[in-house]
Amino acid sequence: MKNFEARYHEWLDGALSPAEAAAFERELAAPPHGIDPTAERSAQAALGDLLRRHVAGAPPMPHGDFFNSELQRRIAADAKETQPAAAEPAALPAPGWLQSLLGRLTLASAACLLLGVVGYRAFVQPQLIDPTQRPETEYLASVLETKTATSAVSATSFSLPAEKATVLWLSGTEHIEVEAFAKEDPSDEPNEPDAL
Amino acid sequence: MINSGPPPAGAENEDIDLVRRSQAGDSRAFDALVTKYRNRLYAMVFQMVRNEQDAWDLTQDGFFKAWKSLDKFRGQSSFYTWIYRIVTNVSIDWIRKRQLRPEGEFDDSVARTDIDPTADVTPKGGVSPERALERHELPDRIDAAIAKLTPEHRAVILLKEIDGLQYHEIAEVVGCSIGTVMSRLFYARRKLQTLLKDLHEKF
Repeated sequence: MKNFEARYHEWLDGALSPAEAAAFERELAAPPHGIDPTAERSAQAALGDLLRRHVAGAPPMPHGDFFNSELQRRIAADAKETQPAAAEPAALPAPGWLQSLLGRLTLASAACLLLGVVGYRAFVQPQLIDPTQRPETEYLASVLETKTATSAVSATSFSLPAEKATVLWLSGTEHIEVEAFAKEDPSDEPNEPDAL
Repeated sequence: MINSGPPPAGAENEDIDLVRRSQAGDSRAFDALVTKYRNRLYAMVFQMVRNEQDAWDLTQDGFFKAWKSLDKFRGQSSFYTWIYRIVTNVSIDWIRKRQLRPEGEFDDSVARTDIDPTADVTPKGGVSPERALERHELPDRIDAAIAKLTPEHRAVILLKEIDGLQYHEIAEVVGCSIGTVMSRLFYARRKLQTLLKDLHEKF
């Protein structure tokens, strides 16, 4: 069931059937409305005419061309405001103290990591290699070379895990002159080779 | 003369083409739409706010808002209805912000006689019909009567009587149900009829 206002407009627009219109006019004339249907219809028609005539006499839009150009100017200004932000990447903010600190920490961490890798490769990794696969201990040979009087002497070491022993093999000691030993420690006897 | 009433049927296809081009960034196409509807919208806004400069600015704001929201227009209603909705809402918001209350603005001696809205004759007041005929009084009386309506009632009566929109179009424009439109329209009519009874019976 449509409400009174909906039926009123259908009646006013002539959208009701004759029977519906007659029923509505009886309702309109009865309390609480008490509206004379004929007078109401003509009053609404007159009101519409009055409003339309009034609007027809209203001033047209002044400066229509300026209206358009002003609108285009606003649109262009708005586009200019929004486009740079979209086209250009946002500028990086100036590094703050936190970013500076983080940068330095990163560099320090990288340096520590590099030193760690070098140290590992130089000192730890060689020790982890299976000793049976390691014919020489370069570190030991190097130390001995610095201690030998002549470069003709060389040292070779290897370990025997089964015997829990490390062997140091010296060769070339025959080239060491007896006097050299005598000068350093007169009590030492020159030895024939060469094993410890 | 203001060209009121809805656009002809073929105009909607033309509008759709212009809207598509506008959505693609063609500001000239949007300019064509503005030229097409600016006078009607200005007339409607002018009737709502009763001031040329405010009406000009509000119509401008409405079109600018429409341009910025153009990507949201899906074509579910006509562009004509859609732009009306935007401009009407801009006007209603402006009236609310200005807190334009019509009470107290209407100075009419006939009104003091407490007209019965249901009376079918003009009460005998102190104003002669000849005086009501005076050129400057008539527009002022109508303006004042319209100003006595709430913004929502003002919008529906103008959209119906001046722009000739259908009820469902008015409902789309003001964003409410058809039932609400009819209810608002009924009370707007009754109030205007009361306020202008002496005028429209003579003209």
